[in-house]
Amino acid sequence: MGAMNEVLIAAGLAAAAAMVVGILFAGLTRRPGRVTAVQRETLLPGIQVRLDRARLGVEAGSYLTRSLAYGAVCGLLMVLATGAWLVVPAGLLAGFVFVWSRLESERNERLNRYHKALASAADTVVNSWRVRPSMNRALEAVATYGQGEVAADFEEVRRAVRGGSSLAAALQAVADRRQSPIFDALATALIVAEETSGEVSEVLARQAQATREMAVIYEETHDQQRGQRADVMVGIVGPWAVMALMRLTTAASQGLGYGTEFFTTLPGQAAALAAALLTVLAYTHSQRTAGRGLVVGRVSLERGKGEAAAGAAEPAAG
Amino acid sequence: METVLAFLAGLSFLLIYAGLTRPRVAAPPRQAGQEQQVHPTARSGGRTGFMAAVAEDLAAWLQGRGTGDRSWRGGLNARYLSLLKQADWYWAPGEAAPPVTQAPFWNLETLWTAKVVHAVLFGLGGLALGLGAVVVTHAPAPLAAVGAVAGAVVGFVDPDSEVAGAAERRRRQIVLEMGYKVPELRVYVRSGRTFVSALRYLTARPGGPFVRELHRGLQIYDITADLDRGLAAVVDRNGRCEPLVNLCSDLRAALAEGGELGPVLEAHADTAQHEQRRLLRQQGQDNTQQMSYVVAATTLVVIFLLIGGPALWTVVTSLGGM
Repeated sequence: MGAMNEVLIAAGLAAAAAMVVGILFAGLTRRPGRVTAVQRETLLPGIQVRLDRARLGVEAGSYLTRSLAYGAVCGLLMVLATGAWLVVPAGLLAGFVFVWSRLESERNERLNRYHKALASAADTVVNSWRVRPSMNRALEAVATYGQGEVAADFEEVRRAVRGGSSLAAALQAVADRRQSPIFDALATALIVAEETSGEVSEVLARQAQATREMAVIYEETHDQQRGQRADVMVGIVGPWAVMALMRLTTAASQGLGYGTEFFTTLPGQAAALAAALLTVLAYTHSQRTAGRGLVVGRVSLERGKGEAAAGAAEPAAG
Repeated sequence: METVLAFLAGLSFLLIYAGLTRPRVAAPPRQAGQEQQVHPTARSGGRTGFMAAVAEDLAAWLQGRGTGDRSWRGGLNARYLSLLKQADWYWAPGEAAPPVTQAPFWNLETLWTAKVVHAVLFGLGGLALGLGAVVVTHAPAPLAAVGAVAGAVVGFVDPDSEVAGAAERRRRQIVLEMGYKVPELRVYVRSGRTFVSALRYLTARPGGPFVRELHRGLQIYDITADLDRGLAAVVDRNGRCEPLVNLCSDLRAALAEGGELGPVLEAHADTAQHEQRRLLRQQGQDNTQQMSYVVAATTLVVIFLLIGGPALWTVVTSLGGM
């Protein structure tokens, strides 16, 4: 017993020393962070800002409700699998992560459909331009024959141009909302076609081909990411499913499920909570890792400065 | 204790052996009216000892000197400089742009300072853990020094991996973005506009690190009216990003020779999309690998806790009952 106490004291001292060094290190190396404490009344708008930034297209209230519902189900399943009530908070947390991940997948799927429709729109523009080089006619063709959101976007651009706005400004408004590099590239081609007096059908055709290629690459990336996320689910859900199966089987044959005795004790509750938290952490990590490095991060530039200077005379090149 | 003494004795033997056998660098004959380039180890008539040479090398590293030196001494600082620039962390007095606030260090001086500070702090942490382990296991006290040395080594190389990781992430982002933006440049130039106006158009809109690099090149062009210098600066800062270096080099060649930029951009637009696809596949594989490690390790622990835990509890309680 005495040796045990000695070990505990030593471990405590070591942990305290490590903590002091850690605090010292963090104090010297960490940059001052923003004030992150969230006021009660700004909680919902704060979540909404995060949802909007990720372009998940859902209201904060709806996200909270869905997350709590999924979390409750998740927590209940974990309780059924172990018999430990302490896993409920981890289950609720899992609900938030799960719903966020689902919303991200839905957003990626929407973007994928949008990009494929954009590739078709580029072909429509090329065809229309070859028949008659008129931007209004090309926009109208896409608004009429285009798919879903792309048709709506081009209709919006057409209306803005008819209302007196410049094509560049109208396209920029959509580009700001979409934040898609594929749309940006197509918008550039359209602006060039509008402003150029010469023959640009060939340029547009090449851009249409490039747009299709970009859409294919995006789809491949999206499929890859979805596959990765699905693969790891086996490893994450597997142990809980096995545990639930064992409990059900033993409960049917012996009357008391496997591990019931253990998971009702304090160490058992703690073990179940640790297992649940580890599962949620692994799930969160895998969802984040699946999308790492697959999207171009945007950096803010001195926007508009280049455009203002663009009017200056340039030496001929290319 | 004996182990530590044996280690120190071995180290002393190695230092004496190296001091005696290390070849001296022959000083080149001095030419009239020319300042002789003195090699760090060839000072004081080439009779400088090994430890003094090591100290001089260390001092040169800490001061960030010798980046132009192609030997292993200068090579290290040149590598750090290239990584700092690729990560877009580099800043030094006289730079046009302000320093990046998110960067933990900006140049060789601050990098070496960070290395030393990290080594000291990690060393202290290692010492604390080592002392704790010594108390718990009743091991010989000098073993705590092993923890300190290990911590110091880890701390010393920590900034290296930090800057290398940031440089690689940014390189990948540039390659990824080039797949979208080079075709855009091509369209603009192919329609008969100047390359500079294409750059202005592209950099006037939000973009990623590739657009930022083009913006930097354009800023230099605006000051010097020399596009070649702007593109050279982009190459200098992104030496580790092969597709960008190739694009800028080809553009520079076409500008210098008076050729057309359209065909150059045409070729690079296809290459950029190919590189983008290749990178995405590679990134996907890397992500899968990283996910697999974490999930496999977590699954093992979770299985142990959920399935092994009750079994272990049964064994322990039944043994206690006996």
